Amino acid sequence: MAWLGSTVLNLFWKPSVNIVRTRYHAEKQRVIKRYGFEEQIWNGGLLPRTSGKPLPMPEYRPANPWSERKALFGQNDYIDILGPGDLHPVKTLYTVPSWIRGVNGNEYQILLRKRKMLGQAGLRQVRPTKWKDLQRRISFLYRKLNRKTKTGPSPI
Amino acid sequence: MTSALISAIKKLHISVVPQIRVYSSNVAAAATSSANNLSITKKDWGFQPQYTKPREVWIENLDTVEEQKLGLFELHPLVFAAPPRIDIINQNVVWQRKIRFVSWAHTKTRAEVRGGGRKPWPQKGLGRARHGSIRSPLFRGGGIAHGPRAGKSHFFMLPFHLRVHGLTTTLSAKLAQDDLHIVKDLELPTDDPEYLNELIEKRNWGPSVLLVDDTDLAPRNIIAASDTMGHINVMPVYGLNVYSMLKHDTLVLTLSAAEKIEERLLHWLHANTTKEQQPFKLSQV
Amino acid sequence: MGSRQITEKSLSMLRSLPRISLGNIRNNPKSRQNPKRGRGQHGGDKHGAGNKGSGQRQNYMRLGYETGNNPFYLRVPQEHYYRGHHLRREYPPLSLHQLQSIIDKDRLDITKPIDIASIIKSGLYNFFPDQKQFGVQLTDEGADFFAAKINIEVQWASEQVIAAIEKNGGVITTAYYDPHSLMLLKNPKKFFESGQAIPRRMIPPPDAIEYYTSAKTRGYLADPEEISKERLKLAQKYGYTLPNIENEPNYNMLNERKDPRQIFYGLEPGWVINLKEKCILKPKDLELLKFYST
Repeated sequence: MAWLGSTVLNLFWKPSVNIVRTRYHAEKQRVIKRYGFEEQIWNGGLLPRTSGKPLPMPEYRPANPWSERKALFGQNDYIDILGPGDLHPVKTLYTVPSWIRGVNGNEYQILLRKRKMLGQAGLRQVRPTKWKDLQRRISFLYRKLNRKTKTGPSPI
Repeated sequence: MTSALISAIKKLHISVVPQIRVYSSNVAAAATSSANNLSITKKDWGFQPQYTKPREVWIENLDTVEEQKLGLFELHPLVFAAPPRIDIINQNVVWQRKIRFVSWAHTKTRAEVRGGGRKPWPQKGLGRARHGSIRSPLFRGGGIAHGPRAGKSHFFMLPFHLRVHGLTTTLSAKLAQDDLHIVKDLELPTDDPEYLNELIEKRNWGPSVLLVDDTDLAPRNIIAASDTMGHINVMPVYGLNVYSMLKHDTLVLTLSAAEKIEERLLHWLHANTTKEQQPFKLSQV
Repeated sequence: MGSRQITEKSLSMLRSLPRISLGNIRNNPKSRQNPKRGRGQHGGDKHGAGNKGSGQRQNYMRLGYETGNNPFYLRVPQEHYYRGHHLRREYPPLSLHQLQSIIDKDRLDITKPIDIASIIKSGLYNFFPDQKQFGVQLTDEGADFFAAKINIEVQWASEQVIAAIEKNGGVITTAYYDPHSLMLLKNPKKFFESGQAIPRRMIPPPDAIEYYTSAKTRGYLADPEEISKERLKLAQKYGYTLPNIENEPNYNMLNERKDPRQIFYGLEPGWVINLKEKCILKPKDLELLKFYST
C-alpha cells in the first residue's frame, strides 16, 4: 500500500520551491590583468561630436525607378522586327557615343576605331594631350599584342 | 525515385484547359450591361493556327471607370500562346541591358599620369631601392597597372529568332497571367490623372501600366493624364520590347496595335530570314 | 508538344504563379560556363604556355624566319605569273547551266530583256564592283541543254555561249559598264534613295574598246549590220539554222537595246527617281540636257 500513500501525498501536497541565487555577476571578483598598464586607445564607444563639421554622410535621396529614362528603357530595341523594317536598333542607340555604338572588341580595336573617327572630327586640334595619350596607348598595345602575347582565336 | 515522382505528378491531375477565355476581375458586372451588342471577331490570318486554338480575349473600353465588354477578339496562338520560355525572356533582357552599356570606369597608366620623367634618385650608392619614375605603379600617386580603361563595350546582337521568340514568349506569358488587356482605343473622356488612377485601381491592373497604340500620336487626354505619373507609359508598336513589358505590371494593347504586332511577328515567324540571321556587321545598319 | 500539350500545361501553370517580372527571371542552369584558371598544386603551373622557350616567354620569331637560314620565301626565285593582276578587269563567271536553273526557278523574267541588274535581283548571283569585278561573264557549261529564248546583255561571252543563245532564237549583247554604273546596277534602291541624278555610263577603256566594238563578240558598239552577218556566219560554223527573229511575236523585246550611255532599262541619264512620291524628275535645263545627251 505504499504506492497509495505516495499517490495521495502527491495529489494533496506539493513542495514549495524557492530558488535562491547565491552568486551575482556583479559580485564576481575581477581577475587583475596587466597591472600597471594604461590603455592608450579609447575603448568607450563613439566620441561625442559637438563642434566642427559633421562627418560627410551622403544625404539619402531615394532613386526614382520611374524616371523617364528608366521607364522607357529599351524602347525601340525591336524596331527591326516590329517596325517598317528600314531601321536597325543599333541606329537608335542615341545615348552611346557614335564611335563605340554597336561595336565590340578589345581595347586596341576600340581605340583604333576611336582614333579613326575622332581624328577626323578634330580631336587632335581640340584636345592635343588626349590625342597624344591615345596615340601612345595604341602604340603600346600594338607592341604588347603583337610581340608579347599569343594570337588568340579569330573573332569570326 | 523517379517513378515515384512521376506517379505523384500523375496523381496531381494537372487539368489542361485551353485558355480560350480570359476573365477579368469583374465579369458579372459588365457582361450584363452589354450582352446584346457584343462584337465577336473571327479572324482569318494568312497563317492559320495548326494545332492550337486561337486565344479569345475581351475587348475592353477606357471611356468609363467601370469595365465594359465591347466584344470578343481572337489572338493567334503562335504569337500569344507560345511556350513560356523564361530563359529566352532572360536572354532578351540581358541583351537589352548590354547592347547600350559601356563601362566608363577609367584609370591612368604610368604613361598618362603627369610627371615622372626624371629618375628620382641615382641607381646606386644611396642604399635605397632602385626606381626610374615616381609614377610607377609601386609609388603612391603613381599609375595603375591593369586598371579599367574607359570605353569597354558589352555590345552583342542576340540571334534574330531569339529576339522574335522573346517577344512572343513575353506576350504569351503576359496573356497567361491575365496581365494583357485589349482595349478598343485610348480615348479618355477627361485628361484628369485621377480618372486614370481610379480606372486602373478599379480594374485591378497593376500600378504600372504600359499602353501600346498603333500610331505615333496618341490621343491628347491619355497623354495629359499619364504625363505626371511615371509608371503609366504610352508607346507606339515599334517601341514595344521585352524589358518594358516586364517592367510594367500590365500591358494594354489597342485593337489595331494587337493586330499590327500579330502581323509583324507572324511575318517573321514564316519569312525567309537568311539575311537577318547573318552575323551582325556594323556596315549593315 | 502534340498530344502532351506541354505549352498548354505550362501556360496554365503560369496562371497561378507570381507575375513574371525583371526580378524573377533567370537563364537555364549551367547555360553559361565561365572560363576557369587552374589552381591547386599543379593546376596553375604553366597556364598552358608550355615549358621554356618562346612559347613561355612569348617572344615569337617573325613569320617565315628560320633562325638564320636563308628563309624559304627568299630561297625560291620570284616568278611573275601574276604581275599586274590587281590592275586587270575581272569578270566573275555565270554558266549557262546556272542561268537555265535561275530561269527554271522563275526567278528571272525572260519576257523582258535581261541585264546584270535582273540577274542580281534573282538573288542567285553576286559580284563586287569595288574588287575590280566588271560584271558577268557567261560561260559555256551547260550549253548543250540551254533552252531559253532570251535577250541578254552580259559583259563577257565566249563564242560557244553566243552560239548556244542564238541557236535558241535569243539575242546576246556584250556591254561595258564602269564600276560606278555597276554599283548602281547592283543596288538600284540604295542609289535612288540617295536622290542623285542617274549618271551617264562611261565609255570603255582603250584596251576594251576592241572587244566591245567587235561584231564577233556582239559588242554593244558594233555595227548592227555586221552583227547580223556574224550571226549567220556563226550559225554556219556551228551547223544550226538561225531562227528568224523578225517573225517572232516578241520581236520588240528581242530587239531592245540600251543606249551606250544608258545604265538602266527605261531610265535615261539625268533623271532623278523619287521613291517616296513615286515619280520621276526629268531635267529641263538646256545645259543639263546637252550634258546628258552626249
